[in-house]
This record gives sequence, structure tokens and C-alpha cells, in this order.
Amino acid sequence: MKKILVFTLTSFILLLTSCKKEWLTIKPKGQASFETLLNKDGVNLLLIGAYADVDGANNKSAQPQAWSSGVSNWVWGSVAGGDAYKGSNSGDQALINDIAGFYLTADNTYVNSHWMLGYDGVVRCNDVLKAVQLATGMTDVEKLQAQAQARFLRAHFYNELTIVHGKVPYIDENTPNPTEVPNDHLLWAEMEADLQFAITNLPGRWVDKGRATSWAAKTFLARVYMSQQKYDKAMPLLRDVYTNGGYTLVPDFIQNFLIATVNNSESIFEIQYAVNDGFGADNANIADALNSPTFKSSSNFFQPSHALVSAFRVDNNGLPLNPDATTYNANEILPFDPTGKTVPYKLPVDPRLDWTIARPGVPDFDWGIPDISWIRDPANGGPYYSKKSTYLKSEKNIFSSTTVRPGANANNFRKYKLSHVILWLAECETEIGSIHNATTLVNEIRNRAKKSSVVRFSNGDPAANYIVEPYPGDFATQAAARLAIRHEERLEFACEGARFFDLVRWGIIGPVLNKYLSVDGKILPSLANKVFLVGQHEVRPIPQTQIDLSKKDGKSVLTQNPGY
Amino acid sequence: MDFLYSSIFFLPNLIASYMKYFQLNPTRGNANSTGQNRFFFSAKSKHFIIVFFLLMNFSFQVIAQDHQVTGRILDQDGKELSGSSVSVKNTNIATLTDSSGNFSIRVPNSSSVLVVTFVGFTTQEVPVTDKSIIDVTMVRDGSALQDVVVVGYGVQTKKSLTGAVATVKEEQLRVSPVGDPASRLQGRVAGVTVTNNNAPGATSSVRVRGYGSLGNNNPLYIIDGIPRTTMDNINSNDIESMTVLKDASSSAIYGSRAANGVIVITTKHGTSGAPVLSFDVRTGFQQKTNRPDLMNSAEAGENLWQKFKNMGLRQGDPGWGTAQYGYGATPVVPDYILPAGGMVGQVDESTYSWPNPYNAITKTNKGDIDWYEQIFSRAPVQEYNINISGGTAGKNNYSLSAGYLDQKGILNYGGDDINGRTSNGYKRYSLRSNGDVKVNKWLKAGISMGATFNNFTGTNGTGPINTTLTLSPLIPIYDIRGNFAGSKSPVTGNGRNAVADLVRNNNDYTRGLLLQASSYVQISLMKDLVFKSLFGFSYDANSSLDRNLMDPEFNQTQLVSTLSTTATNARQYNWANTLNYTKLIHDDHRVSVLVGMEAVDNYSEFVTGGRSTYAFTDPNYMVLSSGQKDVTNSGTFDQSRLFSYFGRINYDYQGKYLFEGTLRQDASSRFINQYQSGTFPAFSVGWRISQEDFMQDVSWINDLKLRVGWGKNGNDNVGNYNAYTTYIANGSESYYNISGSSRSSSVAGIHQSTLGNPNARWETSVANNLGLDLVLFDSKFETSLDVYTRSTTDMLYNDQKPATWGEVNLPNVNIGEMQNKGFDLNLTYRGKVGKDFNFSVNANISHFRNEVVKLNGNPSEIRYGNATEASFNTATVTGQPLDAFYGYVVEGIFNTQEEVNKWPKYNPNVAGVDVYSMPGVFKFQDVNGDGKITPLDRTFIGDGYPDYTYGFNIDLSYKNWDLNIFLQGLQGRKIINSVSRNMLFIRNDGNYLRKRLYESWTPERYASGSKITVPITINSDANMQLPSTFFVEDGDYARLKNLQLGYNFSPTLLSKIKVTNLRVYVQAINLFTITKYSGLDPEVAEQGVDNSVYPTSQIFMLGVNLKF
Repeated sequence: MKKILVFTLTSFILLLTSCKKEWLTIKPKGQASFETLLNKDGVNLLLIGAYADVDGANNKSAQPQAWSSGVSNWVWGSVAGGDAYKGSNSGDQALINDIAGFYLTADNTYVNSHWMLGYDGVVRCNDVLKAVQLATGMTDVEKLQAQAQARFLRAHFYNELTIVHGKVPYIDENTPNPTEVPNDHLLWAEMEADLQFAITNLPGRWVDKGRATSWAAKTFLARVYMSQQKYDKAMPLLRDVYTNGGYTLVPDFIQNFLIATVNNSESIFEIQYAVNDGFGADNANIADALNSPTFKSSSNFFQPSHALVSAFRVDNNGLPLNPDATTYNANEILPFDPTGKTVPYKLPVDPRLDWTIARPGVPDFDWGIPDISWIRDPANGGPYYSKKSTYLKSEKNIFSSTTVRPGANANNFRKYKLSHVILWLAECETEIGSIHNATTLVNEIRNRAKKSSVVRFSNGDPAANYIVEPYPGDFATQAAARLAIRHEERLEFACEGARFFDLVRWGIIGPVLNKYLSVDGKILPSLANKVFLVGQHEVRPIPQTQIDLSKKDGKSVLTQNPGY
Repeated sequence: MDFLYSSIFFLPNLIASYMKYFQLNPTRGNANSTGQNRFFFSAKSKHFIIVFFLLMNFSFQVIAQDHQVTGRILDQDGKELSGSSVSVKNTNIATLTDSSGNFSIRVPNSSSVLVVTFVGFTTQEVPVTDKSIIDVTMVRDGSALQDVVVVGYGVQTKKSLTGAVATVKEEQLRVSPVGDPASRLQGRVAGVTVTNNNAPGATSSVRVRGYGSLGNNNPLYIIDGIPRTTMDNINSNDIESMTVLKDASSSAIYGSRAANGVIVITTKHGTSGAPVLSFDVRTGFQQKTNRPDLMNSAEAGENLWQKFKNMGLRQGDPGWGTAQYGYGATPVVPDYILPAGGMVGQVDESTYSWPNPYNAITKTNKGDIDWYEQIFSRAPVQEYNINISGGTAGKNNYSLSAGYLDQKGILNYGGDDINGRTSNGYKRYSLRSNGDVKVNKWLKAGISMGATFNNFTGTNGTGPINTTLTLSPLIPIYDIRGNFAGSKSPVTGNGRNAVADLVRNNNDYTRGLLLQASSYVQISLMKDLVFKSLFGFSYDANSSLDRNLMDPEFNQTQLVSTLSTTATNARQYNWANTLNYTKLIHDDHRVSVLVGMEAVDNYSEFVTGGRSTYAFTDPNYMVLSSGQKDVTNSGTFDQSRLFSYFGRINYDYQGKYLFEGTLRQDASSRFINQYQSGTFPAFSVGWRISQEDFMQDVSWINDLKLRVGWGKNGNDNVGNYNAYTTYIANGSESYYNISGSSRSSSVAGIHQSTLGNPNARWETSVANNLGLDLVLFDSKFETSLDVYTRSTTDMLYNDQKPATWGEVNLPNVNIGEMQNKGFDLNLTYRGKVGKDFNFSVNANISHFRNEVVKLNGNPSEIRYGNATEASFNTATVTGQPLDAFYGYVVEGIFNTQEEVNKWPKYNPNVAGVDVYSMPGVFKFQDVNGDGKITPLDRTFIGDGYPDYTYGFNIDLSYKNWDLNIFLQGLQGRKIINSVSRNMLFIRNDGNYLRKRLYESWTPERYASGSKITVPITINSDANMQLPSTFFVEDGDYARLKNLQLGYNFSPTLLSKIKVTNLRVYVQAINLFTITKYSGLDPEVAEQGVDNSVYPTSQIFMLGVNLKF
């Protein structure tokens, strides 16, 4: 008995010992290795993974990533550009006050979050490029198209990084050690190369509406050139898209901002959202989820500024009252009540105002008429809120999140539209072509606005005195053309996250923002006594944490921007 | 102190050199006629002339004169000791006393010597001579030197221990508060730091001798032979003893996972004798001890008006006033907050509508509702335990127990109104049965099985506390129709209605079943050689249900109700086989050799599912299947394995010179290739100086032992798949609606999830221990002092890379070194005054200093730690302790513009303009002296490690009365009061501490010389919220953990009702705390950052111990 027992146990132990090596090999569960992705399916999965970052929120990081890096750029482009105030109440996301007031520091976490998302996108694109090189079972065309999409997206992420942080380190699929890469130059040339490759290799249309096309790449490349004031290089690209792209303006201005009309005839590249897809609001416009009033279960961030609202004023001929933002003054401000009460305004305004911005007393689609109780704290953010990234009441719980972040919805962000192409082309014509062409192009946009519907009360009456007319003749001077086109872009693309960057590339950000800060700073206490400093505030800091982490031989390889 | 540290390094070297100089040279001397043997060591060195010349006589005298001896074994009080062992020295003849303490034994002859032993008493040797009746009175062994101490894979007597080992017995464990077993260790063992978590059923953190790792610092628990990472869900009352293996020499037998110390837990086993039935009951209540001083609605309004003034606004300016308090010269508390600022007479209550459209007319909370009082209430706690144990001497023993604990949380809405009360709390049901049986001469077997079912209901975290702290005081609990009110009212912040949350989460639960079983067979293969095979199995199954009900009153309303359920189960088996050889050679040389192997396999899996949109929220209706939308689910499984060989040699010579050597080799599935295995050696020596001849005259020293140990441990706490680079498809992170044709579907994508490190190897910690045990004055005074150093090399830490690597989970890499130095001191004095008054005083104190010696070799390497809203509170660099506090230095508040002008500028822009500095704000120190205040001026501003932790325990007994006083505390530690950041600075339109209004800087208050503790109230105070010395507070405390008064009914009285023992006691736990800390509780998270805690409650209990 004793012998049998000991024998049995001993043989068990020996058995266990003999297959120890195998027994101790345990692979990760539910995860793939890089090698398993080196085929057509794997490359496509990686590519979708790269697209997933283009909305600017990857959900992995702690707050405030979504608000800081959303593709809509509402913080960096619109709030910092004077189109909107932070909104909400004063303490909520107070770091945005530092950004809007130009006193942010290198340890402001918005700066770091924005940087992190940008590079996460870059790395995902690089992973696609690495995998394509080694993938089997793909045709050459499939490989080139996958590479072209990845390079388009990589250019997108670098563009977002560059316009906010200035010089940033360049990491591509061949970089051995990203930790040691310095930020010694602006990455325009790298973006241009990626986009040229994309233009060459991408088709003009895809079945999947979310994929980058050659037209999107051309539009984007033109934008990259324009950021460098290279109008001569931008113009042929824009002309090509305008003439040969096959895009047409949607008949009604508002169709560019409704969920029902996503991916329309005007759209060149849209960020595709989905909501209630099994992942709550994570694939919806989560970055904009809090930008609706509390009435719509949000926090009322991103409230349009008096400066922006006033810019929609027109004369009796339907032409802008003052297109020059450098001469903006307190007398132009639409009357308002600091408590948020409705103050009717009878003088003429551009009808696009009330499709872009909700005002007390003016209907907000099928939600009703906003009043004092809809606004979270008018003393902190004024009486207005943005309408562009929202959903209709009839779409609630269908196209909006049913669970957490109920403000998040499936309203695509239209990154590049034909209207962009038209107005940018008008800029190029003004700078190097013909004023006549420029005028025609601007009027194409204004005529669409004129023919568009206007906001109406339930009895059918227009909600305000709306007039918009094309310019009657060619602009008298290049300067007048510039002024008019820049103003047109401000109105047409208001609250779409481009204002700050447009002001920078036009070289007028100093006078415009200082004017804005001095006028609106008298109304908004958080902007009081704030100053934009030319030569510093065009770019934001390199995040302190990244400087600390990017080291070679004990020294940081990253150079901080001046003044931070 | 430095001397002690250096000696600790010096001693092992010294011993090693001795080893070199001395060669063990066992030369058998000439056996003479009396049978004397001689062993000696000869010294070869001419430098040392110390010769260990040791001699021992024993003789054989064979005289055949056997006869019967009977007698009784009693203790000092005349109580019979049943189960005492009575044996004849140098023979196999032995017996046990019966329940009346009687024995009867045949002795070979009149020169025989009886050896009487009983646990806890000094062994006595009684020459038989020609007596036939021998009664022996046993003397309680005060110093407990004979105690058997559980060590790795075996037991040892306390006197032969050479490592730093501390044992806490059941008697000590049972006086401490209810809750988890870890909290019962608090203040009991020098060198063990326990930080309580007071939420019902929550787990305390346990640290043995500081912090050895940047990763996991939890000790390894061995529960009846089963390795575990926690001691959660074990009924504390089932624990017979906890042994803490503090140093590497004692813990190295557990090798790879022992770097943070090992706590060996043995559950109750039966002792021989008739069945004993014991019954323990205690019941009482808990209550909160502390509260923050919050503003009421009028004060919150005044605070706002103060802010407007500070911002330079005047009445009528844009930005002046709010929708609630109006826009006048002074704030007016409205009668209604919905409609905002509504006044009686202006509000038409008939327009009420809820939930959609939401127009829930809500009256202002003008101060009649104190939110903080609302969410707390007195909470009952009760515990019942029953145990039956017994056994037959030398044959078998058993112990069966059942327990029930019901602890309601003090975080409960409803106060004393039982009907309205929420059901937050914890219940634990436990069963355990342990038994051993000796089948025959060579076979012994045993089993230990425990089952615990635990049930958490409702909300048991700190959520509602945080919510209440920041909730606008204007908000009442209910609106005018009795629906919950909330921040949907304009300008009332982002706060949630804490009562609504408590009530809505009432039916949430987490339920778990933990089964643990270990069984062994033990076979005596031959004389002195024992084979033991132990198989342990544990199964931990949990299920939880989380309901999120629609919250129409919250500003970010969730429009539908959702539910999710999660089921997890984890199972583990371990199989350990050991061969143990013990030999006593010529009575002088005790050699014990253990060799063994162990395999451990861990497996866990989970599935979770959720749905939204429920037609009814009745908990009977609301299950996963009845949800209509948002069907989600996920799940995975996980596995890790460990395979080990180990061995240990113990040798002692005459109980004077002790040696122990250990070697363990572990192979872990968490490492791959050549790094899979790690080898961990250790040794320790002990010298019982008191046994030396020259000490025999020093009668006041009962025991004096010097111990020196050295050992290596490992740590494989890197997660299961650290070696592998992986890509995952994650719906939230890598899916995208690429087709764009539907608004509610996304396509799967994949992205890099983790970066692997195939080259990771075992983190190694080398520890030295120098210990001294001293027992004096007839064992009345007992002390032990241990001085140690513990160096961690190849420290595994989560790699840190810049964002240019993407947002991947980074692997653990072997980088850096850390050192802990410290000492543990334990002092006990037992005494007696007169006949009836006994006392025992125990004090233990421990100290350690942690220092990071190296981080990847780069002197400027910095590793950030804890963060509040992404601002780092702590960081780790070379030369500082792990996770030291990191931030700006605040040198006060600017009082005048002149002061501002003279001070370095804060983050000046390129034009040299400082937009921050002004009278009333913090004056930050220019630490690096570059003439401006920038992030480079962040520096180390303290740490959360106490200089000393101490426990002070007094036991008094007088006749039938006994009293226990137990005080525990910390000295020399700091806390980052991160909660006050939310409570003093502008976050939302929520609530603040009253000192924000009454002690903040204003020009007037400065001019009048009033008390100012808080900077000016302004909107843009984000800079002042950054971690700084302002938030660092003195975190010392001394807390009376236990005060217990008991009464033992007299045995004579009890014997009439067949009761052996009856004790009744009253107990107060956490009666008072002495601290300067301004937060809710100084007993905060282990590394000193207070991000909100579940405050320690006071507990008052009444208990009964009954034994039949």
C-alpha cells in the first residue's frame, strides 16, 4: 500500500517535471501578435484602427483627452480663436480658460493630451505601413491603397500636431527609437510627401464613405500649402477638385450640419460617427458631447462669443456690416441681457447665424425656443450655444447616446467640403490669380446661403430679419477681396475649429485677437485683461511631460517653444 | 543607527570569513568505556585561536525495574491540563492526560525520567525514582520560547528561529475590529504597516518592511498551504495564527513571490480531548467620527459675491450675479432653484412637469438639509461564530466552525428610519472544517476546507461622499412632488444627488463564493524521513449587478436605465511535494533537511453583459434579458503558472548554534526563454548566547539570541504576458464607422495594445537582517530588535516612454535599484501584582526609510506617480523615496503689489508679462533660481512614509475582570490633502469649505490682520490648484483602536451549568484620534495622498464568548 502510494505520487511528479517547458508556455488571450497581422485582413484591421483615431479620442486615456484633441478642434481652433467662450460654469474644465486667455503653461494637461492622441494616430499609421511591407496575399494595388490611406491619415495627425505645437518630432515606420527624435523642424515637407503619395495611389471614390480619396488628399495638400502661404501650389490642386472632383454644393446650407444629410454631395472627407453601436458613445462625436446646453443633457461648453454673433450682422443689402475683425468694437455687439433673458433683435442678420448658433428667443430646430433656463451660467459664457454638432429632438436616443454622455451623437464632422475648396480657391485667386474669379467663388457660397432655408417660428414667420446677398460686383482691391473672403470663411465655417489656425496663416491673429480680447473681455470676466502675444501664442507649448520623457544621453531632445 | 546598518552588512562578511578560516573537521574521538563521543572543530587559522570545543555526555544504564506511575498534571491555578504529553525520556513510551488531567504510564525503571510537555508551558523533567504517584504542576512559559511557529512548508520552535519571524495568535487577533483579517494585524507586528480601508468588507493594505518594488508591494499569503495574493474573504475568527516572515532568510523558501514578505495563515485545528463547543457573539453599531465644515446656501452665495468683487466687478457689470442668487448688490437665496431664482408668488407650481419635459419645480434648500448628515447614519454590525473542536490523542483531531458577519455601512441614507434606509453593507457567511487523521504507523492525512460567501449590497465606495462635498448647497433632496432634485437646476454645478444615487444603487450587489481546500498525505518512508504531498485548490466566483437608473434631475441626464452584470471566476491549484529528513545525532546535532517541488496554476475568466432601456425599474423586472437596447457583452480568460524546486537545511548544535540555509528555484510562465527561471538562496545563523556556559550564572537572562540572515527573493509581478507585444480589437479604441452608411454600426479595427519585453527577468531583492532576542527576569520581559536593509535590484517597473511610441501599454522592464533600511522593535513586559492582578504591556515600533538608489542610470530620470486630474502629486527620482510628493513650494500669499513686483514672475510670456501674480494669490518659490516660476520649479516636497509606526497594547486582568487598551499610530508622515483642492478652489458651482469664505485673502482682511489661511477667491485659480506645499499637511496620528472590558464568570459557578468558560465584554473601537490633519481621516491611502477616503467609524460592541 505504502509503496503503491509513493510510486503513484512519484510518477505524477516526474510526469509534471518532464513537460515543464511546455506547461510554462502561456500565450496572451484574445490578442494578436504582429506576425498574425501580416496579410490582407490584418492590414485592413490595422488600417481601420488608424481611422479610429481620426476622431481625436481613443478613450484609453484619462480626461480631458476627448475635449482636448477632438477633431472638431473646438478648444484650440474655435475657443482660442475668439469664435466661442469656454462656457459651462467657471470652474468646469478651468484649464480651457488658460488656453483661451493665453496664459497656459507647459504642464497644462490639455497640451499633453492633445499631443498624445496625435502621436497615437501616427503610430497606428506607421503600424499599417510596417505590416504592408511584410504582408502576404495582397495585390500591389491593395498594398498601395492601404499605404496611401495610412499616409493620408499620418499627414492628418502631423497636421493637427503642427498647427497646435509647432515643431514636433517626426516618427515614421522606420524610426528605430522615437524617444530620441528631436523637434528641429516643421513637418510640412513630410506631410506633403505623404499626401502626394496618397494623391497618386488613392481612388476618387470608395464604396466605404469614410475612406480617404485622392480628392480628399488633394484638398488636404492644398490646405497644407496654404498654411505655408504657398498659394501657387495650392491653387491647381483646388482648381482640380473644384472642376473635376464631381462635388456639388448641397442646396441648403443647413444640410452640412444635419445627421440626415451626412456624406452628401458637398462632402470630400468626413469623420464618420456611430452611436449606440454596442460601445455607447465611444465612436460618436464624444469630443463634442458636452457642448450642448444642459437642456440637452450636456454641460453647455463651447458658447459662441459676442464677437462671432456680431459678425453675422449685415446691412440692408445683405452684405456684411463690418467684415474687418481688427476694427470690431463694443457697439457692434448684438444686444443681450447678461442674465440670459431674450432680447429680440430686429436689424438684419445673415440667416446662417441662426443655423450656426442658438440664441434666446430663436427656435432651435424641433427643441423649442431657448430661454434663460437653458443656459447653464450666462454670466460665465453668454447667452448662446453652438448648433453645429448636435442632433434633433426627433433623433434623440436614435442618433444620440442613450446611456453615458447623452450629448454625444452620430453627426459626422465634415472635415473637408466643397465649400472649403471654393473659399480657399477664392483666397488663391485673390493672392495670385484674378479678383474677378475670387468674387465669383465667394458669391457661389453667398448665393447658396441666399437660397437656403431660414429659421422660422412655428407660425412660419422667419425668426429674425434675415438677408444675405452676393457681392454686387468684383471686389475693388485685393485688400477688399481678402477681407471679404476671410470674413466669408469665418461665417460659413463658424464653430468648426478652424478660426485660430486661419488667423495664424493669414498673419492677422495678433490684431484680431487682441481686439476681441479687449472688447469681449469687458463682458466675459475670464477674458478680462488678457493679451495675445505675437511671436509666442501662435503655437502652444511642447508638453512638459514629453520633454521630461524624450531623452538621449540624459538630455531632452525636445526644444520648448519660445515663451513657455 | 548608521552603526547598526553598517554592522548588518559587515556581519555576513564576517561570518563568511569565519567559514573560510574554520573548516568543519569531524573527527571521532576515542570512544571510551562510558560511551563518550567527542566532536570538535579545529581552527586552521593562526589568526584565530577560538576553538569550539563542545562536549556532551550521555550514558546508558540498562536496569530492568519497570513499574506503573500515575498522576495528575495541573497548571499553576490548579486547573487540570488535559492532553498533556507524558513520556519517558529516551524511549518511545508516551501517553496523554485525560480530560481530568490524569495519566498512567509504565516506566522501565526507577532511574527513568518523565518528560511532561504542554503547549504554552515549560517542559518539565521529573525523575521517577521509586514514586508511583507523580503530580506535576506546570509553569506557564511566559516567553513562549517553546511555541511552535509556522514557517514555510513546516514548523519550528520559536527558540530555534534564525530569521525575522513574528507570529500573531488568535488571542491577539480577536480583540481587534471586525472586518478583514488584515486590519487585525495592525499595530501588532513591528515592521508590518497596515492601512485600513473602512468601507464594509473592504481590504486593508499590508506592507511588510516598506516598499520593495515600484510595482506590486503586496505580501504573499499562504493559507493552509495555498498561496494567495490576498487574505480577503477569510473569516478572521477561523484564523489560529498569522506568521509574518519578514526577512529574506525566512521567506526565501517561497522564492519568487516572497520579496514583499510572506504571511502564513493557519486556520484553527482541533486539539485532543473531548469536544469543545465555543460560541462567540458580538453586536454593536458604528458611527461616523468626523465631518467637513461646509458652507450653507447663504454662505455659498456670499462666497460668489466675494469672488465677483475680487475680480474687480461691480454690480450691473456683465459677469456679476447668477441666475440663482440674482444680480443685486448682495446675494439673495431664492425660494426656488427651479425655476432659477424663483420667489414665492412668482412661481406657478402647476407648471410642474417630470421627467420629460423636465420642469420639476424645486424649492431651495435653505439650510434645513445637511447633506453630509443625510448620507451617514448609525449602522449596526453583528457577528456570530460557532466552533466545535476536539480529537483523540495521537489519532485524529477536528475543528468545525461556522460564522456570520453582518456589517452595514455607515454610508447609508435614512438615519434611524429603518424604512427609508438604504441597504449598503457587507455580509459574510463562512464555514470551515479542518481535520487530521493518523491512519497507521506510517500514514497520516488531513484536510482543511473553507467556504465563504460574501455579499456586498448597495454603494460601498466613497462616491457619495465626494458627491456631497461638491454638491451645491442650494439643492434639496426632493423637488416639490417628491422626485429627486438635482443639478439640472441652472447654475447649481455638476453635482449628483447623493441620496438619489444611494437609493438607486440599493439593489446593486457583488456576491462572491470562495472555496478553499487543501489536503495532504504524509508518509513516513523510514525512520526520520517523511514524505508529504499537499494539494491545494481554491475557487473564487463572483457575480455583480450594476443598475444605473435614469437620473432626470442631473444636468447630464442619462435618459434611460441601464444594467450590467459581470461574472468572474478564478481557480487555482497548487501541488507541493516535500521530503523531510530530521535526525538528532548524538543528542547534540539536530539536522533537518527539506527538499520539495511545487507547481501552481492560476486560471481566471470573466463574462459581462449589459443592456439599456427598461420598461420598468422594479428590481424583479429589471434583469439583463428584459432590457430592450444596447446589448453589449465581453469576456476573456487568463492564465499563469509557476513551477519550483526548493530545499532547506537546518542544523543546530545543542540548541546553541543555529544555522539555516535555503535555496529555491522558480520558473514562471510570466518570463520567457533564458529568463524563465530564477534562483533564490538564503541563509541565516543564530547564536543562543544564553545557552553558553559563561552565561549560566546570569540568572536574570532567560534567553539571549543573536540572529543574522541574508537572502534573496524575487518578484514576478509583471502581469501574465509581459513578454509579448500584442494587438487588440477594442470597440471603444479601434472600431470605426468606415462605411458611413449606418449611424449605429462600427467596423472592427485593431491596434497595438501592449509592447512586450521578452527580456524581462526576475526582480531580485537582497535583504540582510540582524536580530537580537532577549528574555529577562523570569521571562517577564521580552524584547526583540531587528535591523535590516533590503535592496531591490533589477527592479521591475512599468516602462515609461514618450507619447511618440503611441498610447500602448508599456511592459515592465528591469531598471533601477531601491533600498529600504529600517528596524523593528518589540517590547513586552508581563507582571503580576499581588495574587489577582496581572498585566502585560506590549509596545512595538518600526521604522523604515525608502530610497530609490538608481533609475535606469539616467540622473535626470523622473517617473510620475499619482495624479489628480492629470496633475502629478508624486514622482520618483534617484535619491528620493518611491513616489515622493512633487510640486511647487508655496511661500505664502502676496499681500501687496510691491511684494508682487519684487517676486520672480510666474511663467512670463515672451514679452515678460506675468498674468498670474497679484495680491492674494500664492507666492511660489523660484526653486531653481532662474528668476521665474516655471514647471522647472516643481520639486520634492515631502513624502507619505511615516518615520515611525507604533502599536501600544496593554492587557490587565484583575480577578474576573480583564481590560485591553490598544493604541496605534504614526509619527513623522505627511499627507497630500488632495480633497481640499476640490473643497477650496473653484471647481464647479458646488460647495466649499467654510474657510474659503471666512479665512480667504481679501484686502480688507489683510488690512485688519484677520486670520488668512486660503488665497483670494478668483475664477482663474487653476495655477493655485497645482500640487504644492499648500496641500501637504502633517499626517501624524495616534488612535485608540480598541478599548475592551471583559468579565469572566467564575469556573465554579459555571461548572454547575456545564459551561467551561463564559466571558462578556464591551468594546469601543476607534474611540478617539489625536491628529492635526484637517481632512476627514489621517489613515489615508498608504502613500499619503488623500483623494477621499471612507472615513473610519467608531464602533461600540457588546460581546459574549461561551465555551462548553
